[in-house]
Amino acid sequence: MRKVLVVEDEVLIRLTLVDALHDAGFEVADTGSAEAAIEIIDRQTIHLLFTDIQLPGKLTGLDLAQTVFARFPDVGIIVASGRIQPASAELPPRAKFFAKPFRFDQIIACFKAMNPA
Amino acid sequence: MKIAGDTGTISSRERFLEAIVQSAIDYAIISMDLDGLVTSWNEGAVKILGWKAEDMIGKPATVFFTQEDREDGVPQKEMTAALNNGRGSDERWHLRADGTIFWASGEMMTLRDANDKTIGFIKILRDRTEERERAERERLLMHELAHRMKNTLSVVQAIVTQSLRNAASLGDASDKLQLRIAAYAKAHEILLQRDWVSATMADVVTAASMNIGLDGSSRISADGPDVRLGPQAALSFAMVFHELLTNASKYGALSNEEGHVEISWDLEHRDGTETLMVCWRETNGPRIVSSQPDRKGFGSRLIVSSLQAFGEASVSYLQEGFVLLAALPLAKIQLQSDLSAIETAPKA
Repeated sequence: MRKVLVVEDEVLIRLTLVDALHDAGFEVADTGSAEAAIEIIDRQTIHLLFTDIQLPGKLTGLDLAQTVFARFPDVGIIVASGRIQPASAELPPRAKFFAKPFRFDQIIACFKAMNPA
Repeated sequence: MKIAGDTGTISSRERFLEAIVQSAIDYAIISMDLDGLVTSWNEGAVKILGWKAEDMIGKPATVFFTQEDREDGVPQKEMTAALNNGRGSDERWHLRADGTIFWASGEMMTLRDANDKTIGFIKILRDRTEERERAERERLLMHELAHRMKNTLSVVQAIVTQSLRNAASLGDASDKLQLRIAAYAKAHEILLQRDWVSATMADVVTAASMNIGLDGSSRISADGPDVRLGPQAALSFAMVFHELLTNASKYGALSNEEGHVEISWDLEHRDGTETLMVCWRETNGPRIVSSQPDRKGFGSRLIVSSLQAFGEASVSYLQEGFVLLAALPLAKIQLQSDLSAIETAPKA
């Protein structure tokens, strides 16, 4: 089973996305900051990453996406934001961007279409 | 206005014009010769730019351009534009004598003699820093509002998805949905009444109780010092108290005739950090038989996850009743939003 790490500080959105991913058959870990996310990837293998761009703490979701790509280039990455539309140069190669509000089923379809890591 | 190099008698008309130029103190009016050396410098120029006339006459009128603009040849470009088109616009940051900058809005025009021969330039500018900063604040504010709107819609979308997902029936879904959205809306209302700066714990508890028709109930006691919550914490707490009250009404201390909910909070120093301690304790409700009852629904997860975003939180299903304890560093729950940062931000 592929494992998704969900990084989103808005708890309502995070829990709803976690539930939707569970229902779709993914294993899910979740947290609210990039720093906590890095602690998780130090300990666990993840195959897919969903991250919001604006997060509390020093690192943004874009920083996190770049860090994850540098360490695990096979991890499928989705970045989302209601504020910033990142330039493609800011996103790691093959990462997908979703503007908020997004449909939960679109996130799932996008993850399903990503090559198994 | 005595223009250096000008000779001859001064007419009453010239005295009249001079009086106008010197009294227009909201405008810097500067004349220059063809080499760009200052030939006159009015009171407005003294007030806006800071240099005195005697310090500027005969000096290049480039001193109040920023170094970057000087290196880019902006003063020369302005003069060329004035020579070619009669006017050159000057809308940029300029330097004052004390080294501070201001946003200037003005124009440079050519100055002609009686035979229509160009003999120099005249520059008129105003300090438009405040207007520019106001426009910039408005732009940031609109951007922030657009973001907040999208964020709110995302949250509402999550509420809708969750309420439908866990509903026993369409009627149940409708109830959950309406109450959750109303709780979220009430929290916004409290924040708006306080200019989106803060809400107190007591405000948030009262609004959540009112939302589900439990305001003033003798079965709920709320007690604690006056603690202010930042916007993010206020919205989170509003949803947390809504779910807690809903759960208590459905399964907990408010689901029978005798139960009681005691909400208390206090400030404590914990490891050198000022910390908000929150306790929600249910008593005299139906006895809880299992230590992990079937209350791990979305509401319970929302409660714990929301509070853990600010600090530590744990729930216990004691036989006597449900208990929630949270220890939240004050700095985290009083964090201000981007919007208030815009209000107090110094100029760009």
